[in-house]
Formats: sequence, C-alpha cells, structure tokens
Amino acid sequence: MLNDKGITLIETADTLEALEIVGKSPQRADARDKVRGSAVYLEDMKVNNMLCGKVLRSRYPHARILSIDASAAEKLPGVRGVVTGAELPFLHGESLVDEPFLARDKVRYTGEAVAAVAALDEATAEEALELITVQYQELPPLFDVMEAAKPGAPLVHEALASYQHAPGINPIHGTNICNHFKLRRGDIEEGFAQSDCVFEDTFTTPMQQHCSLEPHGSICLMNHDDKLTLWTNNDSPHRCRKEIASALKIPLTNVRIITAPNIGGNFGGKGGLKAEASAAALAWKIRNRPIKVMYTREEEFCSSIGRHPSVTRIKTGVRKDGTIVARQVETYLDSGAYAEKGPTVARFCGLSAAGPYKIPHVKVDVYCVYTNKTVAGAMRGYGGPQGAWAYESQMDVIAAKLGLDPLELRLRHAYDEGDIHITGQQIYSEGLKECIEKVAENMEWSRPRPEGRGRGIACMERAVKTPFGSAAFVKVNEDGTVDILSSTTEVGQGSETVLRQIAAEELGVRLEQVRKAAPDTAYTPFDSSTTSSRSTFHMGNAVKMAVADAKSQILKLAAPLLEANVDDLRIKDGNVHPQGQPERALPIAKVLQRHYGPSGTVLGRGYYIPEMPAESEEYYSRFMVHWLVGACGAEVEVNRKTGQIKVLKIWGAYDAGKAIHPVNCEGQIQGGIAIGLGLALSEEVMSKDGAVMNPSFLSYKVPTALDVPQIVPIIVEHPHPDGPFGAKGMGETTNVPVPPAIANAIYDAVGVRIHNLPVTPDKVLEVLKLKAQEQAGSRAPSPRRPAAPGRGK
Amino acid sequence: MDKTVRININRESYELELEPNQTLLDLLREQLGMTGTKKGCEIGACGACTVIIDGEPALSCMTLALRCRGKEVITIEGMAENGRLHPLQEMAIEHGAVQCGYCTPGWLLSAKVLLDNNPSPTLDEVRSAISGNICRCTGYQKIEESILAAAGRSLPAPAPEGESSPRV
Amino acid sequence: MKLPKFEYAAPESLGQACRLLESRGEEAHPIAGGTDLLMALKNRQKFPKMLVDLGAVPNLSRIEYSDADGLRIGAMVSLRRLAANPIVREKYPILVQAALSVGTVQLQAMGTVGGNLCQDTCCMYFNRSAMVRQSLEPCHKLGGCICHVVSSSEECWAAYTGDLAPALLALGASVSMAGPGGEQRLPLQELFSGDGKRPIALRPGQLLAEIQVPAAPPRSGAVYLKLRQRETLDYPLLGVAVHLTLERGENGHCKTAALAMTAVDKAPILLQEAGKLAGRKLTEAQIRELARAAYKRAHPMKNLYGLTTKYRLSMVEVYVEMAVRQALESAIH
Ligand SMILES: Cc1cc2nc3c(=O)[nH]c(=O)nc-3n(C[C@H](O)[C@H](O)[C@H](O)COP(=O)(O)OP(=O)(O)OC[C@H]3O[C@@H](n4cnc5c(N)ncnc54)[C@H](O)[C@@H]3O)c2cc1C
Ligand code: FES
Ligand code: FES
Repeated sequence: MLNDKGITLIETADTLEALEIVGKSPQRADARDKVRGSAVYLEDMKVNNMLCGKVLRSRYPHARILSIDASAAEKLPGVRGVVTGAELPFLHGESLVDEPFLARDKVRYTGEAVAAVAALDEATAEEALELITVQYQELPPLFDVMEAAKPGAPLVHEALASYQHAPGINPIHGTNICNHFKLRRGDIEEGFAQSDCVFEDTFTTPMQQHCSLEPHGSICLMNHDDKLTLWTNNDSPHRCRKEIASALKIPLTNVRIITAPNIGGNFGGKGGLKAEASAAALAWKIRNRPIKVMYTREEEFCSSIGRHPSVTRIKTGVRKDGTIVARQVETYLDSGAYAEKGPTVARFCGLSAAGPYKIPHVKVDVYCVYTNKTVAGAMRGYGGPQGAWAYESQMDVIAAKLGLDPLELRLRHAYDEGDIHITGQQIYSEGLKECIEKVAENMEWSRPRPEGRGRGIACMERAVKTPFGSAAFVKVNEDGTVDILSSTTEVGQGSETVLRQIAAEELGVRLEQVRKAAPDTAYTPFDSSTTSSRSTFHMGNAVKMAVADAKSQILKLAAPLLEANVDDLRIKDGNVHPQGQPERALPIAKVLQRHYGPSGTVLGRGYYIPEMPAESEEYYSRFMVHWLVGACGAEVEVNRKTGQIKVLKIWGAYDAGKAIHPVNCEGQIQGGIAIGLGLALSEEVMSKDGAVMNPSFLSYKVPTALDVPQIVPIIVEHPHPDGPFGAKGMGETTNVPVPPAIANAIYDAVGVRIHNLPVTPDKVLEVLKLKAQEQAGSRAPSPRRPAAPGRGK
Repeated sequence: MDKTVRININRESYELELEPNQTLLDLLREQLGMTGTKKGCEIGACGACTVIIDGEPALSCMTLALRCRGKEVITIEGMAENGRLHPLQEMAIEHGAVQCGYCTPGWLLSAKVLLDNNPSPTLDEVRSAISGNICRCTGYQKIEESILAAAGRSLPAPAPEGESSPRV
Repeated sequence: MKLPKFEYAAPESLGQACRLLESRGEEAHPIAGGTDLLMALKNRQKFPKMLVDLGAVPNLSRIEYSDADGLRIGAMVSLRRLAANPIVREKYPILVQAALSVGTVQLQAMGTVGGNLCQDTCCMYFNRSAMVRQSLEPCHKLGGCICHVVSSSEECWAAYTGDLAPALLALGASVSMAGPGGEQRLPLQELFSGDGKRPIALRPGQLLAEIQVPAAPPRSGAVYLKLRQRETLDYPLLGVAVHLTLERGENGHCKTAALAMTAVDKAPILLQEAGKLAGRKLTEAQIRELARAAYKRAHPMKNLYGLTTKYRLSMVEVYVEMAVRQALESAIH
C-alpha cells in the first residue's frame, strides 16, 4: 500500500478540487462554548459525593523512605483516608514499566508523590498533608546527565534489569541508561577519512515545560468489585486504560476512562499517568468514593513532566565544496527519575539526529539517562528540538566556515522525493524543499539587512509514530445526522472539527449534521494515542473508512427506492440522488425510515493501521508512515551593548499534505512557533540540588503577547497517497526549527554563536565581549568571522 | 459587620454569605457554579481568572470576595447580552482565535475593557491589553486579529521592504 | 492553594483603621490591592490573623495637583489610574512608565501606589509555596537563621523590587503616614529600612496615606528604564530612574540631578553622587562617572530569577547612561 510500486492514488487532482468541506475553514464546533465560558473541562467537573485528594511530595532528590506516620492526618476531622506507596505494590509506565503510583522504598526526585490524602474539602486535605511525617535517609543524588551515564555511577533504579519493557527498547542493565538507541549507515570512519574539514560541536538544551493552561487532573472511582472509572484530561484514553489495567492487574473492561469534554492544552504533557496515578491510588484504598486530584501550577512544574534536557555532541565531515559526507551524533537525554516516554523520545530523536539530509555515512547514538531530577517526557515535537538545535546550528557553522550560503547548503542536501532516508526507507510525499524555498522567498532571504540585524533559517524532520492503529465508528441516525465515535481527544488542536469535516465530506452531508463527542473507552473504539501528529492521518482515515462503510449501506438501501444502481448514486447535502438527477433527491432520513421504520440507524466501522513493508517486524518501526517536515525563518535585531535580542518577524512553512482546515493549520504553525520562541530565548526550568527553582509563570518565562512578534504561517501541500484527502499530520513539530533559526539569525547579525539554549542576553553579551577582546588582540577586524568549529559550550 | 454581602454579578444581584478567606474565584466557581472563569495558577500570573469589576480588569484569584461588596462584576457568563454574543466573541470564533479555550474567557474580558474605553485601538494597544493573559496554544496572532476585527479594524499592512519593523 | 483563615475588617475611616491595626499589633496587616499580600498568604509566607481592608477608607484615592504644592497621590490610587491621569501623563511621564511596567494590566488595575511602595522584598528561595520551600531550611525571613543566597550571612539579602520607588525617589517624593503618633511626613527614602526581613519602616498602626511629589520644574526630564526578560509580567532585574533639570538657556548645564535604582539592594537606592552634577555641564565623561558610581553602589544578588548576577551588574552602567541620555533629551525638548 505504501511501497511506491503498490501505491494507488485514492484522490486524483480532480476530486481534490471538487471538495466542499475539506480545505475550507468552517467555524470550530467547540469555539462557541469556549467563548461563552460554558465549555466543560476536568477542572470544572464534579461527581456526587466527591472527595478532594492532595499529594504529599518528597523534599529530597534521592532518599530511602524509612517510615511514614500518617496517624495524625487520618484523625483530622474531614479526612477520609491516607494512602502510601507501600499499599500499592504496582508499577506503571508506557514503554518501560518503572514508576510506582506513590514512592515505595525510596524517592527519586524532589517533588515525587509520597503519600496522598482524601478529605471533604481542599483546605482539610492541605492541612492533613502537614500532619504526615516521613523519615528519610538521604542517598547520593545524581543531577548531571553525563555523570549519570557513566559506568559505575550510583543507580537511580537498582532493579532496571527486572523492569518489563516494550520490544525495541534497549535498557543497559547495571547503568542509569534506560534506552540506548543506535542508528548506523555507511561507514563513519571511512566518511571522515573522505572529508576535508571535520566540525565538532557540543550543543545543549534545558528542560522546557508544557505550560498547558489547564493543569493535570483526574477523578477516580473504584468499586468493591474492582471496577474503576476515571474522568480525566489525559490525552489518550485507551493508552491510559491499558496502563492502569496492566499495572493494577485487572481486565481492560474493568477500567473505564472518560475524557473531559474539553482539555485545556496538552503539548504532549497529558499522556502518562500523573494526577491519574494519585487519584487511582486513593481510589484503590478508599473504595466507592469518587476522588478528585487536581495539580497546582507548582506541581505542574515540579511533579508532572517537561521536555528532556539534552547534551549533543555532533561531528560532521565535509568536503571543500560543501558536500556533507559523514555525521556522527551522540545525544544524552536527561530523563529524570523515571523513563516515562523517554525511551521513545530517544528513538525519535535518534531517527532524525542527522537532520533531513542526504548523508552517506551516519552514526547515531542516543542515550536516555536516569537522574534524580523532575521527570522528562513527551513534549511537542519530542526529540526534535534537541536534535534540530544541534544539526541546524551546525549547518550554519559549516556554511560560515566554508563561505557557503546556509540556504543553498540546506537545499543541496535536503531529502527529496525518492531519496533513501538514513533509516533505509525510500522517501515519498516529501515537501521539505518546498518548505525551505517558501520560507526563503517570503523572508526575502537575499535582501541585505542593516547593521545589527540578521536573518536565519532552519528546517527539520521528525518521525510519526508508526505502526499504530486507530479505529472509529460512525452512526448515521434516523434523521440523517451523524455521530462519530472516536477516541481522539480535543486538546485544542481542532481534531474534532477536522474529523467532522472528513466525515461530512465523505458522506455528502452538511458539517452541522456531524457531531463528535468526547471519548469514553466504554463506547469509543481503540485509538493508540492523540500524539505525534497522527490524528488527522490515522483517525482521519479510520473515520473516512467508517463513513464509507456506512455510505455503502445507505446507498444499498436507497438503490431500490430510487430505482437506480448503487454505483450511480451520489449523496449531496444529505440527499441521495442518481448521478446527474439532483431533482430526484431523497433525504438520508427518508431512506432510513423507509427501510427501518422509526428506529433506523446505520453503523459504519473503520480501522486504519499503516501497512508495513514485509521486512519490518519491530514494535517501533524504522519505517514511518510519513515524516513531518518544515522550515522556519527569523529576522532579529541584536543590541551590541546589552546583548538583548528582538525578534522582528518569524516565517514558518510546514507540509500538511492537504490542509483539511487551513485556519487550524495556521493556528498550529503560529502556536508552535511561539513555543519554539520560548525555548529559543527565555524558557528554562531551573533547578538547584534537584529542586525546581522557578515553578510559576512569574519566574518561568513563557512568552506573552508582547513577546511574540508577527508570525507568518505558510502551508505547503504535498498530498500523501494514503492520507485522508491527501492530508498528513503537521501540528506537533512546528516549534522544532525555531531555536536554530533564531540563533542563526543572531549569528548573522553580530557573529555570535550560542551553543546552549535558551539564548539569553547575558550569554550573547559575554560572547560579544570575548569576541571584541579577541579582535582587539589579533587585529583581525572581520565582524563576520565564523566561530571556530569545535568550541563546544 | 453584617454577614450578608450584596454583589451584582452579570447584571443580577446576589445576597451572599461569605468567608473572609474566600477569593472571588472560589465564590464564582465553587459557590455559584460559574465555572467559565478559569483557574490557571492561582497566584495572579496567568490571567485565566480575569473578570471585570466596576469596569476594570481584575484577577479573581487575587481578589477577596468580600472586597466585592456593592460592586458590579462581569464574568464570561455575562459577556453575551440578551442571548447575543459580544462582537469579540463572534470574531474569536470567526478568526480561529480559540484553540484549547482555557485562556479564552480571560482575554475576552481584558479585550472588552479595552474596547469599552477605546473603541478603535491600534495593534499595539491590543497587544498590551491582552499581555496579562497567557495563551500557550495560539501564539496570540489570531487573538489579536480577532480583537481588531471586533473593533472594526484590520491588521496594519506589512511594513515596507527592508523595514519589517518590530510589532512593538 | 486556598487562602488560610483570617478575620477581616473594612474600617470606614483612616483613624479607625490605624486604631484597629495598633490594637492588634503584629497580627493584623493592612490590605490595599492585595496583589502582593495575598500571594504571600497563599504561599504561607505570612500569617496574619486579621486583614484590615483599606478599600472603604475615604479620601485615599485622590490625585491632586497644584503648581504650588505639586502632585499628591492617595495611597489607594491604583497604578492604572495613576498612569491614566492627564496631569500625571503630562507632567510626570516617568510615573506612567514605572506604573505601566508593574506586573500585568490586571495587576496594574488592582495594585495601589501605597501597596507598591510597601511591598515585601523578593528572594527566589523565599517567594515560593510551602510545598516547594520544604526542601530547604527556613531562612531568616521565615524566622530561621540561614540565608540561602549568602550562606554565611547573619542577615536577609532579599531584594527590594518595587518599580515605583525609584521613579518617585528620583522625583524627590515624600510620604505622609497616619497613625498613633499623628500624621508624619518623611522623605520617601526613610520608608525603607534596608532590612530584608522587615523592609518597610512602619510601626504597627502606622499607615501610608499619601505621596507628595514636588511640582515639575520647567526644562526637566525624567526616565525609568527596567531590565527584564519579557515585555510584561516580570519584576525588575534592575530598574534605573533618572531625573534631570537643566538651567535656562545654556544647553546642558544641570540644575538638579537625581538617580535611583531598584532590584539591586535590600532597599531602593537613591544615589547621593548624582547631586554632584548640579550646576555642571553634563559631559560624556560625567555621565560615565555617574554610571560608575551607580555601578559601585549596586549589589545585585543571586536571589532573583532570570539573567546572571554578573550581567545585571554590568547593565547598571549601560542603563544609567541610557537613562541619562533619554532624560536629557526630554529635558531639552
Ligand atoms: C504576578 C505578579 C507580578 C508582579 N510584578 C510586579 C512588578 O513587576 N513590579 C512591582 O513593583 N510589583 C510587582 N508585583 C507586586 C504587586 O502586585 C505590586 O507591587 C502592587 O502595586 C502592590 O500593590 P497592592 O495594593 O496590591 O499591595 P498589597 O498587596 O495590598 O500590599 C502590599 C504590602 O503593603 C502593605 N500596605 C499596602 N498599603 C499600605 C498602606 N497604605 N500603608 C501601609 N502598608 C500598606 C500591605 O500590608 C502589604 O504588606 C507583582 C505581583 C504579582 C502577583
Ligand atoms: S488563576 Fe488568577 S491569574 Fe492565574
Ligand atoms: S487557547 Fe489554549 S491557552 Fe489559549
């Protein structure tokens, strides 16, 4: 299906043009409730008889728990129970099962959940926490990822060897490395031997936090017969159900996950078990009472997850003419105390660590390493920003040294249709070059900029989680309206509207006739996750298939009524008619009523999973159903006296295959770029001795409206042969190329290259001063002299 | 002191018994069930809990409920009047300014205060007016567009070549 | 993050408020806009048993101006109203700059001039919730005996980070206090104790009632510049206010000069050296000398979030020079 031999184009250019709903930007169904304040989020939900749960958190980064005395807390009037880790002998985790619901035996980071209290109200629960006394014995902590990765370092998880993990994950027993991902192509030594210049740099990125405006939250109810219901703002209800059921060793049907109708932001942060774990731990002990756990903003920063901090050593061999021959990348991802999504992040980081470039000799090693810090996990574009920061910064280092145009250097190496990716996969439906060209064109790449100003460009690629499936049902109701049953969650990205558009287009009804409710694992079928920019493509296909299934049933029913062949029937605006005879239209409702009487419903089902090439049997494939690609350009102004950076304008072009809802796509580009801007210039979770020092919006610098410059969104469309109407995912990785684009623009402006994100004025000024000294010393007054390769941090 | 307090919320008068340590946010969300006012940080830094008190923008998480005695409070639930959406709400939908929607009530009310005082603001004035409302989803661009549209203005034309001036 | 329990009173006269505060001593705190105080309560940094709301006290929200007496600002005037006042906009644009640099739009609408001046000092080890603080020993400010910034220090090094104080100091403001000893008028500088633990020199029962700013002389210019990481929602990492008055006629001769800084010490700094410029022509060399003096006087500590202390210190000279040039510019025009 996906090999170029077997491809049958589902949509021809003609049919794409004839689309009525797909490709337009109708109003989002959820927006009306959201502007009225009537949209319901988990934070707003109450269940009868509900208790409030609060979590006691560790004050040490690494310590043995000697004892916990909760007797005083339990006696406090209004308290209904206290639960500790010892009472729950279970572990959970997505690809590596290593995390207790509440710390057992030892704590591994400051802020880890140690005990939880359920009380009649929040104030009582908070008061009860203060009455719990925990005796700890401190253990030596590990804060430095490079130290932690060394053989012989103290272990964060002594039992790593005994943890269950998914196939394709490669933990190194007896170390803190919970996954080592390797990729080899060609012969790296041979590649360096063929090179005229070898560039070696080290780049680092800090922890970034998602800062979803709605914190994590869950309400959990567990009955005496081990039936568990969880209302949550988790992004992926089926993954959540599986993780809870397998941890608690109960059947899947015992666990029901009900997603809140609206989720106040996600960006990958709401994937694992966070508030879910604490609420479930309380419900496990205090049966038959719903218990709500809502994180505070500080808990978001200290006890949920963030983006993996990273250290990347990148070594690139280039011929004099600028041809890149070899690239070796070694990345260390700081996973914090638990693996969370880290092993997968390492994989995705590694798959694209060499950049979206044709390079014959490549060697990649990515290590995901435990430390005693806040846990890192999935965050928008995961693995991407760490990799792109290194490879796209170094592209400009190379261009400067060899006197090449950074744009030309990229275009010369960028993957194109039919190229072989370093993973061995043949590339198809690749819009990368067009993204780069569109950005360059829009930003007028060759226009000279005044002194102190500069422009930079960067591009990126990232994998889409493959091969994972999505299922959907549609119900065509007796009045001709349609319900979509799908477990894709609406986290703000607009998937609800996009799936409705696909369904309406495919069936031939008006958009308003299609509804999609929030997921409930009791009713909505399996979906692997709402992540990785996979929903439009995978769930879009599943919905389209389900609708096609329902449609063929309807047409079969209509054929005798309209005295026509099924093949000659069309549906438009909810009416079935023989082709070319719209005057003979019969509403779908009538078709159903004539056949079923008053009780008709047609059910359609769809299941989509990409077909894999025969040789790939891995759980995590090296074959990707498509690659997310894009490019970003930035224009900046740097003040040489203060080192302060003003970003004047940003351009971003991303390949959507076919934009189902162009305005949503623009919103994804602009929103992602603002997150990238934050990582580029100001965002950094700072910790001291393992404790987060800036857990608030006041001290953690999320960009405000005054900090985000004009962002020009550019949608590129290289249709995917298997995408619904040609669509591919595009929203997740729009942030990825932003930091290097900005850093490259800063270099262009004042000749300063910063290797460590974020690029703050203090760092810029320091290098400016160093440069001025060097220049005064060496009397080499070339302002654009490139930084010496291999300077590292 | 008399224990009952009268507060006008969304043009309706309420007689309430309040605790000193209740914030206006607690009152709205927990006691009155008006959950449109959002809670994003509880320490005055995100703007999700913005309401209008006597015509001024205010953070309900940092306002003692008792402080509102005799005042007029407008929350997101009171922004539409007589069942008709405010132009800011209409334009927010129209321009795709809403993604997850968690920040939306807050910035809509900040923008309402702006337009109530300045019916035809510039882009810079719009950006300042909503700068106390963090939005993590949209990058603010479509929010700004929608506010200008509600004020009957469009985005200023891009700066002439070579001068792409900062939007500050 | 619920507020702890406390009693609440909303007295209807200044005298009543002062008496109530005096009778309850340390356990009662005045509350104005509440933006500083309620954060401290939520974070369990302060534990008042009673809050005395100044919102119902009459006459504290006036802004008055006369050429003879200058500007009088009631302590309860909100920052937003101060910045919107036509006379303030015309004659004291530095106050508009400073007021609009505080927090966010909403905080400017809620926060008061009095509350801004009387705000507590900041330190990143202290300004966090009890949950996060628990991993550290209680510091001086919390009744402990350690400073996490200067570990050997016997005193608290928390920084004063108010934005209005430097602007008002540079303008030569004074303050009126009401309280047990009757009304008292002091130079604004004396409001600040320089003790990180108890930064505001008010006795129990004493309230800040009014701020007076001398009339703005002709040919004067004043500028407030704030170093921050974002364009809003940031406390200053350094704030520099400069106020210059020029002699008539001769270009560049200085009649008076004042310079004040914030965020670089336990109290706002009014730099005495600036006075030396009076009667002299402002040359490049003198601007640099002033900047150097400011640099020597500033003591930024590693207690605020954001840019490095070294950078903040190195910006003192740069910001002073920029501020002087801008003030000069506006004095001439
Ligand atoms: C997110 C956030 C950001 C902020 N950013 C800034 C900033 O950038 N710059 C800045 O300067 N401040 C900032 N602040 C602090 C605060 O908002 C402002 O300083 C505000 O002006 C304080 O005024 P208020 O009326 O709200 O003070 P309140 O909180 O009411 O009072 C502050 C203190 O002063 C005392 N007090 C108040 N009025 C009087 C009086 N008349 N007499 C005697 N004592 C009195 C109170 O007891 C209290 O101790 C910020 C606060 C928050 C929450
Ligand atoms: S919840 Fe009030 S400002 Fe964030
Ligand atoms: S729309 Fe999600 S935070 Fe603004």
